[in-house]
Amino acid sequence: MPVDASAHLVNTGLGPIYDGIVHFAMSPEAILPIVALGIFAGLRGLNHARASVLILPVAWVAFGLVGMLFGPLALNPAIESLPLLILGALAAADIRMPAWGTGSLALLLGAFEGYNFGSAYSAARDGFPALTGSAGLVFVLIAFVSAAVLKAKWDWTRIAVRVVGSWTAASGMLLLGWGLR
Amino acid sequence: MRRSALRGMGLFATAFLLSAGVAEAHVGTGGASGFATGFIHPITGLDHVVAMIAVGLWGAQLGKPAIWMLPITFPLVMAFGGFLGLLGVSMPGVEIGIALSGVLLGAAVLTETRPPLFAAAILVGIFAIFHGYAHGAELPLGENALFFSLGFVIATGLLHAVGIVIGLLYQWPWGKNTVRAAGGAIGAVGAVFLWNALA
Repeated sequence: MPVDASAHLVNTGLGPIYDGIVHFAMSPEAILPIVALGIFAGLRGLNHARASVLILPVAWVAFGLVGMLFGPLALNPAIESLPLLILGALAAADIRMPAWGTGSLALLLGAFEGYNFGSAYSAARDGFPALTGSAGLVFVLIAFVSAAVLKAKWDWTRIAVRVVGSWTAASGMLLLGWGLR
Repeated sequence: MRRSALRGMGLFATAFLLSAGVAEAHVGTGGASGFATGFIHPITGLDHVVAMIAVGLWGAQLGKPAIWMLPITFPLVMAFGGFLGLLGVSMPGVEIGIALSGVLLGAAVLTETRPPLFAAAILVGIFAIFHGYAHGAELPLGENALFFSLGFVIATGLLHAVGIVIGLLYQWPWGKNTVRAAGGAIGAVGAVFLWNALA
């Protein structure tokens, strides 16, 4: 008699919420764009940081549920490089844009990565707790990075975080080339 | 004209989105070795090392804003060169370009050349494409692409940082000679590589 599927990408033994947290913590391709978004939002100011912190986790959960419903899409893996490339470049260039623009970027990133995470749990019966676990760490990460950059008072700290953005974008560019090769 | 260009871009985007990728079972494996391989890759080439340090030295010698513009823009331009190399786009004279970067950047530091910022940025950018292309064309298959790329970019960035830290000596009179001497040494190393590339 077939049993229920209980697929888990990471199994901590502590339950699905912790599995979701560790899954996100072990996914640098999802962490780096969020760090880049946090840097960009922090450099732009308080309203941008607030928009990112509010919208990103909500979009993550919402589109994660959609991903759980529809399952993985057959997309070219090179697409994963685009959030790194775009958000890293924006952080490196410290481009001026309205707060709703930053919020839109947070929405797009949350939709893309949230869908990816949600679709990975589509075969799991208890995917929702894992998704909320990952979204919790997403919230902590975006809040921490954007707040740290907001509080950066010296010129060299702002330059240092822009260098991190530049390195993220450069890695994204190489990753894109790698994926298209 | 504009409509056809938009249609072409739309077709490209659609083809890109729908193209099937390679199977990636066991996602996330090989991260540590990929990072280490990528980190070591730019450090093992002396021609690359001296040119990266020269960029940092020159940036420090030129002062603000070059000192912070170079480490932000260089990795991006270099990655674009790597992107071209990964795609297999043909680029002749890469080794000569890399050797020339050591010669000219070393000479710029030695002679304390102070061109306009945009001219310095363009010169460094052209050399960045050569360096990135050479590494992109040599990237090994089978490594974790993200970790390899991160290691590669971080190592290059740290080489700039080494150059910038040495270049900070420039603010003292005795340090000026040290920085210029380092530029001269880099130029000499570049000349050896240029000789080999042309031979």
